[in-house]
Amino acid sequence: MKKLLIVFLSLILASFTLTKPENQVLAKDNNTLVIYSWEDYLDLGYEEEDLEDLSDSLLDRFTSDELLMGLTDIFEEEYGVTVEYRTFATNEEMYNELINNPSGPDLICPSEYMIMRMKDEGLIKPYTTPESWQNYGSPYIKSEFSRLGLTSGEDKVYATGYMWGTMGYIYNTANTLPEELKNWDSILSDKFNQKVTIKDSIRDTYILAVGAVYEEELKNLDKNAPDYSQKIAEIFNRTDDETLKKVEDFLKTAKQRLYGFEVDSGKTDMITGKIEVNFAWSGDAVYTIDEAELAGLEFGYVVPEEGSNVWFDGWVMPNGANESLATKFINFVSELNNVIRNMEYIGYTSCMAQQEVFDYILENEEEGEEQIDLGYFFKGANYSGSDYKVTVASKYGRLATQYPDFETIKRCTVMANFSGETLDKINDMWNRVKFITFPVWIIWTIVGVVFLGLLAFVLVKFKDRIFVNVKNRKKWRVVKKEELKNF
Amino acid sequence: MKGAKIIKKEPFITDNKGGGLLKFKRSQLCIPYGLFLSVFVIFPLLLIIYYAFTSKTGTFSLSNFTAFFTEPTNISTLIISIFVSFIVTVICLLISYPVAYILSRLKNSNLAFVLLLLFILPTWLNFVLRAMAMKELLSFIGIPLGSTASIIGLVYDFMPFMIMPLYSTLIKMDKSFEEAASDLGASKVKVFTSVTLPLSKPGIISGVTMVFLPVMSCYVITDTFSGSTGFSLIGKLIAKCFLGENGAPIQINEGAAISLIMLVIMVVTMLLTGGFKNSENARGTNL
Repeated sequence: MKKLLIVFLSLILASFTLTKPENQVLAKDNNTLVIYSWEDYLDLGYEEEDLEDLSDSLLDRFTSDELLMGLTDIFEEEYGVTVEYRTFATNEEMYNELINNPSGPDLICPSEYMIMRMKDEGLIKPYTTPESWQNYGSPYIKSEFSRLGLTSGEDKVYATGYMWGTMGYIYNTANTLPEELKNWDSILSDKFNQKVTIKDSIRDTYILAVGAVYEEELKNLDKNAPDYSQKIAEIFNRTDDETLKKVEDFLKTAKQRLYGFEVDSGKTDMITGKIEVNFAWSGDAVYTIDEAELAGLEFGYVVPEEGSNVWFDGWVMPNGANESLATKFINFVSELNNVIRNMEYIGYTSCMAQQEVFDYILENEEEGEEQIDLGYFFKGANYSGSDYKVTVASKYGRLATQYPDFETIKRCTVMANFSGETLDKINDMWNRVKFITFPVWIIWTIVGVVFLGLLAFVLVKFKDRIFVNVKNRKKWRVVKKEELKNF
Repeated sequence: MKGAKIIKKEPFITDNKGGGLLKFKRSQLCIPYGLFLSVFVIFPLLLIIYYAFTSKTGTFSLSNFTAFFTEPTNISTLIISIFVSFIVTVICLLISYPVAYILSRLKNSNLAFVLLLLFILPTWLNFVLRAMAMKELLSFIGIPLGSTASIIGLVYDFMPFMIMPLYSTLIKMDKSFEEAASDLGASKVKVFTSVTLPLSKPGIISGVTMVFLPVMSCYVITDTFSGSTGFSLIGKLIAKCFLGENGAPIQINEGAAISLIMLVIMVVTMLLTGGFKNSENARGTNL
């Protein structure tokens, strides 16, 4: 037995030492690039049978052999290295993994608020601006990045952009007009009762709620005022107690009229017709519009009038990263061909703005009357020329979803990174919305009833032991004495 | 007992020469499971206790527990979980008992086998897939997502765990007791209430434990069926603490504390139902 115990204890000790992070990274060497990213966020190669369904943009540019290979495979072959591509479901999961294993990954692709948090906590390092970003990164996104403080000095950055987009509502054009969804709180109309899903993630849903709560204030802002974008950013980033209370009330009301909260089932539920409206990221919207087209449906995507969120996912390097190899990879995915491949594969919009990317957009130009202006994306917000106008069938169609018009972008803002007490408050508020919460007096009543019930149970069950019958005890003593006497 | 002792002293498996590599003691055969137990059960348990009693910075603190018990949302979820588990267990029992009884009394054993298979078959498929299929089915029938749908989904998913122990108790029951009771003039109802039901108690207890406890910590099923208005169980709260979501923090310490509270509830329930006792009748049906 003793031996067994020793084996047990030593094993427990051993398992403790095994969990030390140092041991986990031993396998890493200079020729391995470890990337943390998202599921379906990089072209990992097509299956043979998918090839014929691909768009001309891809088939004209690549041979089928190239398309069968994933981008990581091509990178491995070109540079003679091994790529380890790990995916995560949420930014927080990624962050936790990085905390547990700070020198594990070389390149991470978190969202903008997580980049800001990682930077604030010193988890990532500035790196020399990759050539591709320097030369071809979209001026609009570069300026947003420097506004968020993601640049360091003249030639260093904390992050380079990968994909970006907006948030809005996907709808079925057969049943709904875009005008019916022009406000965030339009989803509360009777038409959409029990027919809407919103995100099961507070950061995204918060935007919707704030947009609805401050609808009037947002609408009354002067769109041409020079401080319009600051004002809109201030409103969307309000986290004072009053706002939180309003948001909570709005979400609790909305909850009664929704189909559900989701993060992935919305796309399918739209196509099967279970729901009419899905609150979504623009990239998912493009994907859904494509899928709907295959099913013979026509979907649209609308960014409500009050304004919305614009988000970015970017490449960052943790302190222990292999900078030169990671930079090579950033340059590699920013190559024109790979940019197009990624956009076709995942439906999201790349942050790269090579002139050829505009040619690619023109290939997808739709027939119609409307025009969208993408000058801001290719030349910066001050560009006033008309070289980057694209014809689209509708301002709510596929192309306008993927590349939003300047008018749309003007009313979109980046959400700050909430941290510390604010984050806890928002999280508690979200829990109160998501989980059924009884008033305190009901809880006390239930606890009291249960306690009394238990007490009664114990009293009844053990009454013989608790209430000692005095009569019996006396008798028992008498008998014993008599017995002793007789004895 | 004597025989057992002799075997214990002798090598359990030996080669002909009475020595060498194949010489094992009985206790040594436990080592593989012991290893498994310590790495995958005891060690994680210690970790949960460690995290539950420490704050984010790693210092000892009871704040995770006070935070749980002072937040009405958490207590409400706990109350709802216990209540829902109770409802689901009662519905499962009411449906399963007659089924198990009829199956165990069928004269045609082949038919009984096929019928039992029909009840057990779905458990071989992963419950997430079953839940997804059930969701489509419910929307086809026209039952909207919500609390009702969640209860239906939970009952559907946990029913086999109630039927199995009941069936195995009822089939093993000595039928001569029932015959004796009816010979002595007891009506059919009386036979059932004073003989069959008391004798099947171990099966009921084991079925109840196998439904009541897992339902409380279930979260995929309620996620699938509850829509926006339905209830969420405590399992969802734990999952949210550990997995986080975009924008909401991962709270390992809080999650560990809730898990520990759940563990205490489970142990108490087991004690109350006598789940740890190894009585003769319960053999093979208890956990």
